[in-house]
Amino acid sequence: MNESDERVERLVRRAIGPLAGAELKRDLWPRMQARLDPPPVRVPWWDWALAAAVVLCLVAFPAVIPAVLYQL
Amino acid sequence: MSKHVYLRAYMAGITVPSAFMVLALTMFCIVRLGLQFPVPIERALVFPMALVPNLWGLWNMLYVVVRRHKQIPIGLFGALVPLLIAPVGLAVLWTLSLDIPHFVFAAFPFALAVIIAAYYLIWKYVVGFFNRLLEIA
Repeated sequence: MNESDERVERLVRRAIGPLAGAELKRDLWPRMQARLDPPPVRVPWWDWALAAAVVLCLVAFPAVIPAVLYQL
Repeated sequence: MSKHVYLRAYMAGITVPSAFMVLALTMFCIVRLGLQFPVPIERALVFPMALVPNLWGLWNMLYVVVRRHKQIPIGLFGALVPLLIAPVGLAVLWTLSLDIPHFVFAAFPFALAVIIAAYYLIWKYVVGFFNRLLEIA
């Protein structure tokens, strides 16, 4: 580093000034990891209702069960 | 992981009915061998044991193709499968000339609605999960 470079460095430091709060206040990795993890599956209420209806039909009408098993 | 996407789609699709086959075979053993059910249902087992799992795999491959051109929810796409499988299943029963009890045929239209609902849920949550796991979706 020659004299010109040092002068430029001094000028830049003077222009920018010391950085305040350069240290992180908290660890950012847990938040990053939470974003990388797949979101939890959310089941809407109508899917719960549909699943309940299917189970109810199988219980109320057992004759349907052989046909359902045959198709699965 | 962009290689062999159709093979992975086939594997993701075939997993659910293949796993379900164990339950179906258990039911078969109980009903046919244990309870001495008088209908030779083992002749019709080729349909749920061979055709249905392969149809699921092929349908999931088709889903990969269709999704490139049009965004369609996997649940709705899977709910279409019974419309293809049910006539084929009935055709197999007719071809084998099995003496199926009348109540099974009588319940079939109602069962189709139940099957479509079940397929919608299974494809949306289970096959969709496998597709995400194999990085297809």
